[in-house]
Amino acid sequence: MSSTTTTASSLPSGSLVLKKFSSSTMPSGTTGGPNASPKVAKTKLPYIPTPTYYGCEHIGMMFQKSGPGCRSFYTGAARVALDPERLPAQKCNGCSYTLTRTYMCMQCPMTHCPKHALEHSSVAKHKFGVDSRNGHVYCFACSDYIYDPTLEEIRIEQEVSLYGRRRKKRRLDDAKPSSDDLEYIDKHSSYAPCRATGLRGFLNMGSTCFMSVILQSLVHNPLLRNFYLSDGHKRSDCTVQHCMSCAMDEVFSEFFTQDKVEGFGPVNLLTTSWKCEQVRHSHCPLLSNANLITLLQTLAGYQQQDAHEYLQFLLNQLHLNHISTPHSTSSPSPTDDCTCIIHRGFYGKLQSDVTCSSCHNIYTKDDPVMDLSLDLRMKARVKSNPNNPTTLTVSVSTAPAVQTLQECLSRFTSVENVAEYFCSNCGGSREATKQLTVKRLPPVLCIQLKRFEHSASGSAKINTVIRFPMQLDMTPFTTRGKRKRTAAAGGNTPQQQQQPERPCKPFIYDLLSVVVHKGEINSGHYISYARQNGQWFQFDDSVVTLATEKQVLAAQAYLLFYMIRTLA
Amino acid sequence: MSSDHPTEPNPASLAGLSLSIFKDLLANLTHDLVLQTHRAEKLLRTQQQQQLARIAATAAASSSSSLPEDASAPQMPSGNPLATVPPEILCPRCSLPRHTPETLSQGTILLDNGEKKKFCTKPPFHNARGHDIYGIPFPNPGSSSGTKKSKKDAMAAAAAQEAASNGDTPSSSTPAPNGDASDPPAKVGKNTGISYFKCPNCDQEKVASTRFAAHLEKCLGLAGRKSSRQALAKMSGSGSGSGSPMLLPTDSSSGKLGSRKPSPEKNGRATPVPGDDSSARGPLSAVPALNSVASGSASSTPKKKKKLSAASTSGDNANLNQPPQISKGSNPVVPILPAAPSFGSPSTSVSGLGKDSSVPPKKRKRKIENGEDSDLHPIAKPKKLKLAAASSSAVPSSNSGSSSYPGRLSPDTPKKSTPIKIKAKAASPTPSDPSLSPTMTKKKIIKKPSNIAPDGSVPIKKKKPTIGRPTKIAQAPSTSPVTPHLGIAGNSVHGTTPPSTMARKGLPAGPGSIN
Repeated sequence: MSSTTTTASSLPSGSLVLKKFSSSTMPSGTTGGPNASPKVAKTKLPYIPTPTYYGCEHIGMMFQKSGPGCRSFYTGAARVALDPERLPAQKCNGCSYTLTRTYMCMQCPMTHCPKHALEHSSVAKHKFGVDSRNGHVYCFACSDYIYDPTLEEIRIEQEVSLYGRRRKKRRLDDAKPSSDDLEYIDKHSSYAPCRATGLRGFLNMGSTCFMSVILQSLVHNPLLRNFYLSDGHKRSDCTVQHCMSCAMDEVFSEFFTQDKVEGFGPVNLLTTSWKCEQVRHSHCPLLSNANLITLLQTLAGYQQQDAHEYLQFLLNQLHLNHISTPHSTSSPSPTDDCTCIIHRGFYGKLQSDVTCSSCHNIYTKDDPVMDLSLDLRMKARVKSNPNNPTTLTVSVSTAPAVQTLQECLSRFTSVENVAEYFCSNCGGSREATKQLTVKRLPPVLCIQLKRFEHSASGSAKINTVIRFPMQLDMTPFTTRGKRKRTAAAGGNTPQQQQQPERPCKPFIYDLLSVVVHKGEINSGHYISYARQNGQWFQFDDSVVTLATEKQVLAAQAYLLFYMIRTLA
Repeated sequence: MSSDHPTEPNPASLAGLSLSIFKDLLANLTHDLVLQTHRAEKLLRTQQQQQLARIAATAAASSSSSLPEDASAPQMPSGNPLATVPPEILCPRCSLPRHTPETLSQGTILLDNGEKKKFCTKPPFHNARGHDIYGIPFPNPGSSSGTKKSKKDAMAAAAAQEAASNGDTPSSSTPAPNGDASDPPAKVGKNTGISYFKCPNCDQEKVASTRFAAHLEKCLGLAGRKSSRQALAKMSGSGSGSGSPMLLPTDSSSGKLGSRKPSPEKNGRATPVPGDDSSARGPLSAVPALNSVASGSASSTPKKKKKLSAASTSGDNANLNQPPQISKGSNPVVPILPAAPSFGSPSTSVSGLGKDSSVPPKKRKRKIENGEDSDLHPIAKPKKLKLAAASSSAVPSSNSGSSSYPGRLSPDTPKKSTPIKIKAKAASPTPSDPSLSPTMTKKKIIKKPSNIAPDGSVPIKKKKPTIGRPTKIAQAPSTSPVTPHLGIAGNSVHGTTPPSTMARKGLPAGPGSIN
C-alpha cells in the first residue's frame, strides 16, 4: 500500500534539493546556497542512470522469453486483486472457497489456494502467482515474494486508477521525469547532506512555543515541504518587504539542507510575523495614531499566544504573500481558485443548510474554511431528546467520558436548532434547523479541538480526553456522505443505500502531526508530534525525541493535522 | 483463544466454523502486515545490492574509462537479496555506510590502511532518556551554570568524538560554515539551549534566544506604552531614530519644524557633531584609561569601547579624532573641539547624518536598556535617546557625547577615588565649560551662537540637552532602575567636584528628572 500512494509521510528518500535551474540569473544559490558545498559534491558519484533489474532471475527469464505478454496478463490480474469492489469470491480450482489469499497463476487462468498453487507450480512449471489480496507476485521457485520494478509499476498504476476512479485519465507517467530529465537534474543539483532530515527543534525565543509547534507541523507537511524545497518561493526573486514566505523558505532550507541538528532560531520569521502586522496596519490611513498603537499591541505576534490563532495568521500571511508576489501567475482571485500553496493545501468548504421549519425551504451557503473547530462540550441535542426541556438550555456538561474525534465531528455536522431565523421564502422569523457538512475536503485537514473556553465568567481549559484515530475516514461528514445517510435513514431497506450508485471512495486521512497543549489556560506549554517516514517524533521547543504511536495517541491534542492518504 | 484447545471443535459445528473463519481473518491480517515489512526490507536489500553494483561499476568505469554496459536492459539480480545479511547499510545518497549504534559507540574506526573509516553523516536516532534523537542531552537553561558547563563539556566532547568518527562531517556544534548571509548566524552557545542572535531590527548583536522575543517586541515597539511610542516615532517620523515619548509630537512634525527653525541651527548641529563626539569620546575613552589605572572594573571598559565604536559609526569624522585624544588625555581635547567642526561638512551633513545616524542612537539605547552597567545608563541613555529623537542625528550624537560624558564619568568616578574623578572631569569638561555654561541657559540664546562655527558647536550641544531634559523627565520614570544611580552619581560628583559646569548641567538634569 505504502508505495502506491503519495503518502504524506514518506520523505522521498532521495529528495533532491534542486539547485535553481535558472542558475545563470542567480549566481549564488539563495535557498540552499551553502549546501552546494564541495563537501557534499565530493561524496556524489558521477551520474549513471540507475540500472533496472528483475525481481528475480526467474521472472527475468520469463520476461525475456515472453516479452510484453506477461505484462498485460499481470495488469489484468492486479486489477482483479486490487479492485476494492470485487464481488466474486476467489475460488481455488483445486478445492473450495477460501477466505484467505489465493494465487492467480501468471501463465494460465487458474486460481489456487496456497497449497494447490504450489502443486500447480511444480506440475505445470508455472512459477508465479499473483496474490489476490494485494497483487504482489509470489515466485514459487524462490519461495518468496518478488518485487519486480516493472510489475510494481503496473500494480501501483492499477491501484491508483482503481482508487481514484474519477480521475483515471491522469496517469502516473505524466508526472514521471524521463531519463534525460533525471540526468539533467542529477547534474545540476546537489544532495542535501544526509544529516539534513528536517528533524530539528525551534529554539524557544521567549514564550514562542506556540509558534514552534505550528512551524513544526508545517515543516513536516509534505505539501508545504515539497513546495518550498522545489523552489516554490524564490527568496532571491522576492521583492516583497517582510515576506512571510521568504521567512518560511528560510526555515525549510535550514531544516532540509543544512547539516545541523541543534535548534533553529526563527529570527526572521518572528520578526516578519510582527512586522507584517505593523506594516499592514500602518498602511491603513484611516487609523489614527492612537488606534495604531492599540492595534499593534493586540495584533503583535507576541500576544498571539494561541497556537491556532498563529496558524491562521501564518497561513493568511503566506497566502497574501503569494498574491503580492509578482511572479505568481494567478491574479488575486477569489479564494476559490487561489493557486497559492496554502489554499491548495488547506482550503476546504463547509456547507451550511438552514431549513425553515415552516416552509421547509433550504437555504444553502458555502463557507470557505481553513480548519474545523470542534466543540468538545456535549451540547444538549435538541433533536435527540426534545421531551426534556431542561436540555434545551445550554446544559454544558463537560463530559467526563472519553469522546472520540468522530463523535465530535458528527456533533459538528449534526442538525442544530436555530431559534431565530428570518426565512426569505415564507417571510418572517421562524425556527429553523441548521446543519453543517463538509462540502470540500482539503488535502491537509486541520482540526482544532476547542479546549479553551471563554465565557463571561472567565476562561477555562477543557481537559477532556479526546481519542483520535491514526486513520480518519471523513466520508460520513461530507455533504455527500450525509445526504446518503439521511437518504438511508428515510429509506426502508438499509442495505440498498449502502452502495446506491457509483460509490464515492472513502476519504481516508492519515494523522500527520499533533499539537498538544500542556498545562493550564494561562500558563502552559505547547509541544507537538509529527510523523516522518512512519516514525513519530516529539518536538519540544529545541528538543526532538522519538515518540511512539501510543504516546501520540494518548496526548491531549489541541490541533490535529490529517493528511489525505492519496491525491489520486 | 478457545478454552477447549485440547479438543478441536468439530469442523462441522458452528464453533468449528467460527474458529476457522476467525483463523482465516487473522491469517489475512498477519499476512498483510508481514508482507508490508517484507516488501520494505526486500526493496532495501535490493537497493543495497544495486548500489554496490553501481559503485563497482563506477569504479570500473573510472579505471577503464569505459562506460558500463547498456543500462536500459534490466539486469538479473544476483540471487535473493534476503539470503545474505549485508554487514552494513549504505546510504543511498552518499554511498557511505550508515552508522549503527555499535559503530557510533566504537568511536573512530580505523581501516586497514590506517585511514579513518568514513560513515554517512546521518546517525541512527538515539532513544535514550534525557537525550534527543541526536544523542544530545536536553538543554537545561534552568540549572546552575556549573552543571551546565559540565554538561556542555560532555556534550562538546561527545560531539567532537562523533565528528571525529564521522570523518568528513563537521561537528554539529560548530555553527556550520554556511554562507547564508541572510541568516542571523547566531553563535551557538554550546548546546545550553541558548543561542545568541543578532536582532534584525536594531542590529544589536547577541540577544539571547530566550530573551529574543521580548527584545524584539520592545524593539519593534510592541511592548508597553513606551516602546510603542518609540516605534511610532520611528514609523511616523521619517526614521528619526528612537524618539522619546515627549518628543513625539514635535518630533513627528520635526520635518516641518526643521523648516521653521533657522537653518543655522541645523548647521550648528551638524558641524558640532564631529567635534562633540570627539570631545565626548575623548574624555570617555580617557575614563577607561583612568579606570584601569585606578584598577577600576575591567568589565566596564569594554562596554564603553563598544559604545564608542557604535557612536563612532554615526560620525565618521569624529572617529579620526578619537584615538589621539584618548592617548593625550583630557586636555588635548579642548583644542580639538573647535577644530572638529571643520571636519564635518556643516550644512550638507545635517540631512545625511540624520538618516545615517538614526541607527547608532538606537544601538546605544538598546545596549543601555539591556543593562550593562547600571551606572552607565542613567545619564547617558535618556539624554541620548531624547537627543536622538531630534530629527538630525548629528545632534543626538553630539548631545549624547556631551551629556554622556559627565554621566559616564560620574558613575565610574564615585567608585574610584575622588581624585580620579576630579581629574577626569576637570580635564575633559573644562575646555567646553566656558562656552557651555552660558549657552545652556536657554535654547534661543544658544541658537544665535550656533551660527558661529567653533563656539557654536558647543552651544548647540547644550541646546539639545536642554531640549532633552524635559523629555528625560518624562522618560526617567520609565527607566526607573537607572535613575537612582544617576542621582547618586550626580550628587557625589557634585560634592566632590564643583568645577565643570558641563558636569553640573548634565548631572542636574538627571537627578531632577528622576525626582
